[in-house]
Amino acid sequence: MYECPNCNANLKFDIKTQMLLCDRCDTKMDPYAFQKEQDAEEQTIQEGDYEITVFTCPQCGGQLVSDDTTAATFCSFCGSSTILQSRVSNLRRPRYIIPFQKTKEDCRDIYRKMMKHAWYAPGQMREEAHISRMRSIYMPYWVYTAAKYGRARQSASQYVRNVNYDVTMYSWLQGHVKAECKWLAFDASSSFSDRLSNAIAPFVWLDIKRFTPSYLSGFYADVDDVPPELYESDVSDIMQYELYKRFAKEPIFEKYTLGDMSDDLRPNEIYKELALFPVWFLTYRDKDRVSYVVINGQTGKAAGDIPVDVNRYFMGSVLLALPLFGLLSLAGNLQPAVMLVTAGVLAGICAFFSVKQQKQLRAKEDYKDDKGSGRYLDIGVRRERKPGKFAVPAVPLTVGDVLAVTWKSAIGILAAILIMVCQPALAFYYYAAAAAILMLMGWDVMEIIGRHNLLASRPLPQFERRGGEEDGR
Amino acid sequence: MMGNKIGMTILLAVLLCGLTVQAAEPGSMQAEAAQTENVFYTNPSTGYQAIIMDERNTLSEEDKEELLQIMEPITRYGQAVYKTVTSSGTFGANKYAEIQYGASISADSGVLVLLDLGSGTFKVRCGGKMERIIDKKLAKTISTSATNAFAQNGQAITPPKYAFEQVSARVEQARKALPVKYACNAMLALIIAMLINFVLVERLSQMQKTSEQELMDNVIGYSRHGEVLIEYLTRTETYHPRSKR
Repeated sequence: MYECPNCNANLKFDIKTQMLLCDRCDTKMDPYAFQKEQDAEEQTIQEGDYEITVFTCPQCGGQLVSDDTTAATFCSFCGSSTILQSRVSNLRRPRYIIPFQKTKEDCRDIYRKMMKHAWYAPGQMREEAHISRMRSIYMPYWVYTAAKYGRARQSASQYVRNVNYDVTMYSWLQGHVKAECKWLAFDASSSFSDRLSNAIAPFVWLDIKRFTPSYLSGFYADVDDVPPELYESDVSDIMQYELYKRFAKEPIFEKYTLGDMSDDLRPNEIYKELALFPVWFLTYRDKDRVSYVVINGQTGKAAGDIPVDVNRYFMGSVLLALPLFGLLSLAGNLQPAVMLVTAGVLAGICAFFSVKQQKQLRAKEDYKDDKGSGRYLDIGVRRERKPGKFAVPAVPLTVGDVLAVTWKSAIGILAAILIMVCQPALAFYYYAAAAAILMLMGWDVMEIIGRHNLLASRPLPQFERRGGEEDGR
Repeated sequence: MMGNKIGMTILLAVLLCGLTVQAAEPGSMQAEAAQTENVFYTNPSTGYQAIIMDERNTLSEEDKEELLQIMEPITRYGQAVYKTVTSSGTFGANKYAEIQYGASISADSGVLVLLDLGSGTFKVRCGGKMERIIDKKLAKTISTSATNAFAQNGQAITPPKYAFEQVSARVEQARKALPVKYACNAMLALIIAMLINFVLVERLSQMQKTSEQELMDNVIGYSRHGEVLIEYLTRTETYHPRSKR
C-alpha cells in the first residue's frame, strides 16, 4: 500500500487528475515523485521440493491471493491496493506504461451503450450490480521496434511496347534501405485472448510514459507470461509487407510492377520492450464458462463476447414470428410443394451456419485464434499469416465434424428431395414432411445458439482466479 | 308538354338500354332460369348448390340421383354444376368452359363439369376457393381422364361421376390437410424468425476487428533508400502486331 505522507491513508492513482491522490485528505502527488522500495511483504518458504512465495498485505498483514502473473492486486481482507514489487522489478520491470485515461464511470456509459444493441443478452449483464464489478487491469504488452538497415533487393518487371512486340523486362531493384517500424504492440498475457486484444487496439503511443510502480496503485496489474520471441515472425511479416507497400508507391518505382515480396525487406534487427496498457474488464460467468467485455482504458474502444439468453431469444423469435405468420396467411397459404422446398432451403441455411460455427469452434479448441495462449505455446503451432493480414487461419474440418453438426439439415434436405421426386398425390404428405423438417430445424437453430454461446465464452479459469476486491471482499 | 317529352325520351332510352343489355347477355338470363329449374340440392349451412343442367337428357333419373350423391359433399366448399351442351361453337373448348362457368355459377366458389356432346369432350373448370385446391393443371388432367372414360364406354354417367369423385376427394384432402398446413405456416414463421434473430445477434454482437490500416496508423514508421540500381535479368517478347489490335 502506498501511504499518504500526510494521513497514512491509501494513495491511489487518480485517472482524472493523472496524479496519486489520497481519498481522505485530498493530497495529490506526482507518480514519479513517490518512490517505494517494498510494498507487499514477500516471504519465500521452502517445503521439500516446493518453494512457495507468500505476499502479505502491508496494511493488515493478511495473505494476498495472487498467481504467478499478478503484479498489483487488492487485499482480500482490507481492500488495500497492493503492488507485488518483485514482479515488476529487475528483468521483469516494464519499460513503459500508458496510464488509465477512462474512468469507471466513462466505461460504464460505454458498456451501457454497447448493451443497447445486445437484445438477447442475459438480463444479469444489464444489472447495475454486475456493471459495477468492472475491473481495471494493466495488461502486459510486448512493444516491438523493427529496423532494416542495409542493402535490399526486390524483383520487378517492366512492360514496354517495341514496334510489333510486347516486351516484359525482369530485373532486380537494388539499393540501400534505412527503415524502421516502431510501437508494434502484441499482448504478452497468455490469459488475454488475441481476438479481444486486437478488437480494442490500437493503444496510442503519444500517451506513453516511463514506467513507475506508482501508476499501479489502485489497479490490478499482470506481468508477461508470453516469451517476446513469439511475435517476432509477425513483426517481421508486417515490416516486410509495409516496406513493400511503401516501395510500390514510390515515384521512382512507378514504371515497375513489383514481384513477390523479397525476404530482403524483412528487418535485420528487432527490439522489444515490455509495456503495461490499461484495460477495463467485465466478466460474466455462466456455470463453468466466462465471457468478457473489455474496454481500452486509453481510447474507450469496447469489444466483447456477449452470450445469448436462450429464453429471451426464443420469446423474441416468437414475437417476430407473429407478424410473419400473419403475412404468410395474408399472402395466401403456400402450396404444398413450395412449403416443402422452403423447408429444405431453410435446412440448407442452418447447415451453412452450423459448419461455419464448427470451423470457428475448432479454431478456438486448437488455440489457432489465440497465439499468446499457453496451449498454443505448448503445442508449438506457428500461425500462418497472409501478407499484411491479421486473420485467423482456416481450419479444415473432417467429414465427421461436418456430419456432427449437419445431420439434421441433411435429413431434412434428403426428405424434401425424396418427396419432390416421388410426388405423392396427397398434399398431406408434403405438409407432414415440411412440418417434420421444420421441427428438426427448430432443434438445429437452438443448437446453433448453443454453439454461439460456446464461441462467446471461455472455460474457467481465466481472470476469475483473481482474489481480492477493492472493497475488501 | 315539353317536360313530358323529355320524360318519355328518358324512359325510352332506359328501355332501349335494358333491351340492349338483355340482348347482349341472353345466356345469363337463361342460366338463372335453368338454375332454378335444375337445382337438386342446396347445402343448408353454406348455401352452395348442386345443379344438374342436363338439357340434352343424357342422364336417367337414377343417374342423376347417383351423381347428386357425389356432388353433395362438394357443396361444403362451393357450387357444383354439371352441364351438357350441344357444341362449344366457335370458341375454344377452354374459353367456352370459362364462359359457361360464368353463366352457370354465380357463387364465389365452385366447379363446373361440362359435357360438349358435339366433340364428345369433358371440361372441368374451377373458381374461387376451389381453384386454389384444383388448379388449371389438375383440372385439365381430370378432364382428359373423364373424356377418355367417355370414349371407352360411351356411358354418360361415368365421366361426370369420375370428375366429381376426383374433385370431392381433393377438396376433402385439402380440408384434412388444413390443420397441418396452418401448423406448417406457424413453424415456418417461427424458424424464419429464429434465423433472422440469429443473423441479427451475429451482426450486432460481432467483434469489430481493428483494421490493418488503423493498426498501422499508430505505428511510427519511416523508410529511406539510397540510389536504386537496376540489374536486368531477362526479357520476354511476344509478337503482337499493331494491325491485330
